[in-house]
Formats: sequence, C-alpha cells, structure tokens
Amino acid sequence: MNPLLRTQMLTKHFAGIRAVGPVDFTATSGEIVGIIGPNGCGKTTFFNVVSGFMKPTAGQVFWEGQDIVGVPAHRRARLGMVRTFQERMVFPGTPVRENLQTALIQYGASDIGDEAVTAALDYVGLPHQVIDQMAGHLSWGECRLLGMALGLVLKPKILLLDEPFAGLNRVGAERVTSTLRRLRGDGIGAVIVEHEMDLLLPLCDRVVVLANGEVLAEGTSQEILQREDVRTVYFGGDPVARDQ
Amino acid sequence: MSSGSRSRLRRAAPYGGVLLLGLIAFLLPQVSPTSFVLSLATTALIYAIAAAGLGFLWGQSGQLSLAHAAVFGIGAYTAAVCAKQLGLSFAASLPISAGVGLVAGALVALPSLRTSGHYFVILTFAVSEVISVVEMRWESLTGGVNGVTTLPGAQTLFGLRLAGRADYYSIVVIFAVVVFLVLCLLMRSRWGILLRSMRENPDLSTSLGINVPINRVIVFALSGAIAALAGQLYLYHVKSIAPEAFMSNLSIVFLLVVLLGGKSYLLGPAAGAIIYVFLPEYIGLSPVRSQIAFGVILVVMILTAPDGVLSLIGRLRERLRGPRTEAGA
Repeated sequence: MNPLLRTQMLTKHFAGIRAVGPVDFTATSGEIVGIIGPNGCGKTTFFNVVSGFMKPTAGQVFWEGQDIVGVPAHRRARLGMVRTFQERMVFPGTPVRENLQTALIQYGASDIGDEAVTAALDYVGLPHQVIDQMAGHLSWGECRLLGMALGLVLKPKILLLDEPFAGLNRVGAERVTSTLRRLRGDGIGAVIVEHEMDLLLPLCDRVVVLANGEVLAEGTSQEILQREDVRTVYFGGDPVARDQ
Repeated sequence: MSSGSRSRLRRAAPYGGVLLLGLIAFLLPQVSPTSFVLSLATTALIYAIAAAGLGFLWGQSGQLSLAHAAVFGIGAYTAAVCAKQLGLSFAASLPISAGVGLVAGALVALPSLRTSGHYFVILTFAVSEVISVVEMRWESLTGGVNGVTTLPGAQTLFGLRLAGRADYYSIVVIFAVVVFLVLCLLMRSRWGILLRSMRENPDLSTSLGINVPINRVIVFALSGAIAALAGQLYLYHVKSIAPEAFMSNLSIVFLLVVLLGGKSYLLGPAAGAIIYVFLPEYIGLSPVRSQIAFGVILVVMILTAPDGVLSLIGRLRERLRGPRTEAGA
C-alpha cells in the first residue's frame, strides 16, 4: 500500500545543532505507528516539522505522493493530517461544547448542535455532563480525551498524537487505548510519540526508534523489544541482564 | 415553555437587550434635554462604539492594539478630507471613512503575521506614533498641528439634523445600536467561535485547520472600520480635530474603557464608556484628578474584578442564588 505520509531525509537543525535527521519515515491509513526514543531524541521536533509547525532544514515531507514542505500547518490539517499537543491540548477558556464546535465548523459540519457535540464526546468516552464545563476546568485525563476528540471530529486520515498517555491514570489510559483501537477500526492512521512503552507497544503495528535525531531501528513491537541496541539506548542496557 | 422556545428566547436575549438599551438611550433627550448631558452622552456613545471595536478584537480574538486611537483618528481625518476637500456629505463620507479604517486596521495587523504577544503590542504602539507624526506633518491634508474644522451645515440623516445637539445624539444612538447588533451577531456566529479558539490556543486552532494569521488580519480590519466610523462621528460631534487628540494616550483610554466594562462582554465597552465619561463630571473631578482616579480604579478593578463591572452582576446573581447543592442532596 502506498504510504499516506512519507518523509525523505527530513532534517532539522537549531543554530547548527542537528535535532532531527536525516529521517525516512512512512505511515499509512489504518496503521498505528509508534515513535519512541529517549528524552531529547527529536520526537516532538519531528512532529513539528511533519505537521508544518516548523520548517525543515533539509529533506521532504510527502502527503499522498505530493511534496508538502511549503504547505502551511493549517492546510496540512485540511489535507487530513491532524496533530495533538503534549501540553496545550484544548481551548481552556471556552466550554467543552464550543471546543468541539470549533472542530465541527472546521470539518464543515452543517449541524454543530448538541447532538453532534455529544457524538464526539461518546467517541472518546467522555461523559455528556462535561459539555457546559470550561475545558480548562477538566481533569488532565479529560483534557487529553477532549484533545483527541477535537482531532477526530475532523475525520483525519492520519492523527499525530504527542504523548497521549502522559499523566493519565489507569482509567484514562484505558479510554485512550480503546479510542485508538476504534480509530484503527475506522481506517484512521495514527502516529504516536510516547514514553509509556507498556501502553504503546501492544497498540502499534510498527515502531520507529529515534536516537540522536536519527532512526535507530524500525519493526514490530516484538522485533524492537529484542533489539540489543534499542535496549542500550532506551533503557541503558538490557534491563534483565543489568538487574542480574 | 418548551426547551426549543426557551433556547430560541435565550438566543434572542442579547439582541433584545441591545435594542432595549438603545431605546432607553434614544429617550434620554426627553428625560434630560440639557445640552451638557447630551454632549456627554454623545461622547460616551462614540467612545463606546470605538471601544466596542477594540473590545471585539481583544475579548474575542485575544489581540491587543495600541494603535486603535490612531485608526479612530484616521477615520476622523478621512471624514474631514471628504467634507472639506471633496465636498462630500456625512452619509457619503461614511463608507469611505469605514473603508479607510478597514485598510488601516488590516495594515496594523500585518506585523502579527511575523510576531505575536508583547512584541506585537509594542509594534502597534510604534505604528500609532508613526501615524501621529504623519497627521502632524502632512499639513496639506490634515492641517498639521492646527488640525481641521468641519461644520456639518444643514445636513440631515434619517431625517435628523446633524447640527442639532439632540438630533445628532439620536443619530449616534442609531449607529451604536447597529454596531453592537452586528458585533453581537458576529460573536455568536461560527466565525466568533473560531476567533475565541484562536484567542485561547492559536497553535491548536492551526492544527484544526484554521488560518490564524488571515483571521487576525480580518478581525483587525473589522475593528479598524468600527474605530474609523466612530472617528467620523467624533469629528461631527466636536467639529474640530487636531493630531494630539488621537495619540496613544487615547488608545490607553479605550483600553481602560474596555477593561472597566469587561472585555468578554458585548456591552462591556458601553458600560466602561459611560463610567469613563460621566463619573468625573458628576463627581466634579478635574482632568488631572480624574486621571489619578481612573488609575486607582484600574488597579482596584484588575485586582478585584478583572473581567470588568459587568462581571459583578453575574457574581451578585450567583451570590443571591446561594451556594450550589449537589443534585439530589
């Protein structure tokens, strides 16, 4: 299957220091790809460059075969590549209803009434009672789910999720997991940057390991877990051998 | 009452509120026909219109401008040029003033394509200063430091005489009602929702496909058109203008007016303008003491009611309602 999203030798430098690259990467619809790596390895920078929030220093980003390096971030979203953020995930000073209405308007929905809003809440498992609450008053986990709902309302072809499990309790993590499984069932692809290996790896069709901005390894979750070099970079060596 | 009709009533309430307040304002000449009160009320309404443009810009899209007074001045000067050099009537000048304000507002917004936050606000201050210098130096058009004088003559609008104090006040009331109704419509529109999302989180808005820079320019242009319209109304009210009237300290006044009333409320600028214009006159404060008083009021407001005086009504209502109990408790 032709990849929806492809990067070729994608590189990003900050003041001469290489943060990312060169990275060759692919993702396609209905596929969940995990991106892992130690702190500072360039995962979020890679997201920023792919989604158009930063310009690459070199390399290309292809969307359905077209080079989109010059395409601004908001137009990439309209093409079907929607991203979420680690921290500022929602519109805090407006009610949950208006948060979702923003996404519904952007999707071009003719109906942005409560029925459409509650359908979006249902998709991510948020209770209907939150509809009138200020998004900034939601719990961290509810914010994460609302952030995902905002992206999903746009019916993206690929959703780029930046640490969707960060700071979640068990219930929140289960809700995110079930939403991601549903997403795959609906043919939506996801690229997930995450530190929570236990939660991420069972979900992924493919995992890419970044180290020092470059792709260190790529494969299924099982293949990645068995790679000695990945364990060294990520865990500082084989955790079992180290414990012995 | 069914939930449908209740929801329709709730949607119509703000428009009804604007019309009701407009009607009350319209009746003022019958209640207090003195020239002094009508002159103050006219000034308050003109400030309310100008500040409404800034309030919409700030409260809805989160953009702050210190060039608002400069655009207000551009509107006044455009109207003066239309009247004196082109011989145009008040009505014919209106679309020109508003159009020039629209373009000026959009131009002020252009730096926002490359910068944001405090730096952008400082840039708008710089733009305001440049406009003031141009108004002072371009003597053939603006009359330089001496300014220009325009007398409306025997013109009428909506059957009302521009030269008559009470009639002109009524004209300004009509414009205020129209401006506030239009802003109400926009605040409650789909575009209003998108603007508030940009105010809250521009990056997230972008990631949802909103073209944030273009929308910022559009909202600045709209705010500029409203400021320029108010500028023309101001010219025909005071009949004589000079550059020092439109320097950045007037932008601070507009800012104060918006803050006093509440930047998130449609009628916040109107409440702020009424307080700003009437309070010193009725307490009998000199201009200097009035500035000190408003400085103190501003500090107190920011500390105790940062959402403006209109937020106090909501707080009072909540207090009267008493503490909330859990459902079923």
